Amino acid sequence: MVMKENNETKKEIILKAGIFERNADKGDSSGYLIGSRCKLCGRIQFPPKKICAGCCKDDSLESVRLSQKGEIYSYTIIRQAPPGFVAPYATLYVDLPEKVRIFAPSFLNDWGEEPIEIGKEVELVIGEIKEDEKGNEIIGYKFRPIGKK
Amino acid sequence: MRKVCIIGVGMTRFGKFIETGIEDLGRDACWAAIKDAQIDPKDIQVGFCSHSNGGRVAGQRILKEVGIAGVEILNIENACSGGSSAFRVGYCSVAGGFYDLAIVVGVDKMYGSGGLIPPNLEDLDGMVGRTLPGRYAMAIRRHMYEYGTTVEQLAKVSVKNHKYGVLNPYAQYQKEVTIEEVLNSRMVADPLTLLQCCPAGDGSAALILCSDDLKKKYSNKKPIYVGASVVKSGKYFTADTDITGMEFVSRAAKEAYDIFGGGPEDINVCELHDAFTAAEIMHYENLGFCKKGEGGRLIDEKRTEIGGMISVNTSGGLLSRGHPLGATGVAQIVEIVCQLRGEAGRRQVANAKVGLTETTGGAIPEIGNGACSVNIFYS
Repeated sequence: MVMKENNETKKEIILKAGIFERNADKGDSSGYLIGSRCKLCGRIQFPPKKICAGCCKDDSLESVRLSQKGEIYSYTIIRQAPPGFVAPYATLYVDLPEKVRIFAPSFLNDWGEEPIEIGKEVELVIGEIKEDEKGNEIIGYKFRPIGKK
Repeated sequence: MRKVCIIGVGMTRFGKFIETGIEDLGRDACWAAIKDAQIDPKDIQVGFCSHSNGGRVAGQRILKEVGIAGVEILNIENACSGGSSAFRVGYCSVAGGFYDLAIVVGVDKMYGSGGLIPPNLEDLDGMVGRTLPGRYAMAIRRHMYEYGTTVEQLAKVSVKNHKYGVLNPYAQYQKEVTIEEVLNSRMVADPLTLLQCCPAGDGSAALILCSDDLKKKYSNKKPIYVGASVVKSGKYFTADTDITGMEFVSRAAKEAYDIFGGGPEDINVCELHDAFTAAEIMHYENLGFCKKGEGGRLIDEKRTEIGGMISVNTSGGLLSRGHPLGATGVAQIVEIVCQLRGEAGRRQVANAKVGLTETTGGAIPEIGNGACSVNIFYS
């Protein structure tokens, strides 16, 4: 935790409950995205749902951990950032083996000199993605190239 | 289902109007359309208004400024396709026999939003850093990867549409730009630079719709007929979705062509949703003006300039005319009506007989886009 200017400590706030698991309780760590899987038609959705978009049943969905690695389908580098984010940073569409496409940020420190390219494999990281207006760290999901620490 | 025609059009200039509110902008567009149609506003039986941030009952607040009160008035929001959606509902009200004479107005004030339209509060993609320019940048990045589309081809879209903005007295920007200026402008989301993104601005546009069998009672202007009107939402995304294909656009267009009884080869003039240069390139393909992957070649060969195979965005498009969300869809129809009437002045496309408008709006997770509208008009 870091001290803010008025001597309050910065907190970590989870972006949204119920959509990911975090393996450590601070900093960047491994983890899982949580989706819902329909026991009847097999459809997997992220974020988790109450009603299956495929067969429209409301009693057939179970929570499932999604794959931690996927392939970049497309990307961009954002140069004009929305509130809380610091440009430049990348946004990716990552295709997971279970045919789910995830939209997520990816931070350029994690890439270093390596270029971001369509087709590259990336791995899930749970950690800070932005700050709120009070300077608290918002914990969410992001991807980085495989093998970087 | 009755045949519906447009007997009046009007709009304000789009731009930065800090002192002018929604009601005044809407009033000016409505009054221009009423005067163009040469009707008595008291004859209007129903009103439809689209906006995205004008506050509650915006339509009623606007229409009371032109002497319309007491009738059914509805407000429609559908992000960038709001104006087209208000037209859709207006069209249905006349085609379906509920009303004979309707007014449609679209309006918004975007100036001062800082450029980026903020996502809805619960939009998960927005919460993790998506921006709208970023979304189109990711789509065109994939298009460049699959088809070899180049940044120069993207820049040419901006050059073309800014050139036509100069010819449109209602356009927000009336200044030509060069390919170099476009590519050297500030990068917003790779590869989209500032001059490849539509500006934030304010404005309003309006239409008067009439049942064909009653048009002579109201106006002796050359009527422009609605050949098709379609609105669709996107289907669920999976890892198999082709984001360059925007299937909701192709699907809406195909249905519109089928209803009209023709195809892309029949279209002489088109106003499509160039919120970003990338969008225009992809929409050439989505609307069937060329094969998949050939959008870049179309602009290289100048086939979408005035006088080309199909004249696209003669108004200057969103890039140059501007994009107040609720107004755009209506303003596109205003341009097509002017073209089909032969009233487009220096922008006139010779022998324009059939026109098409397309808007795509409401980026949301999981289904891509909330609303795509495709309309076909003929004289």
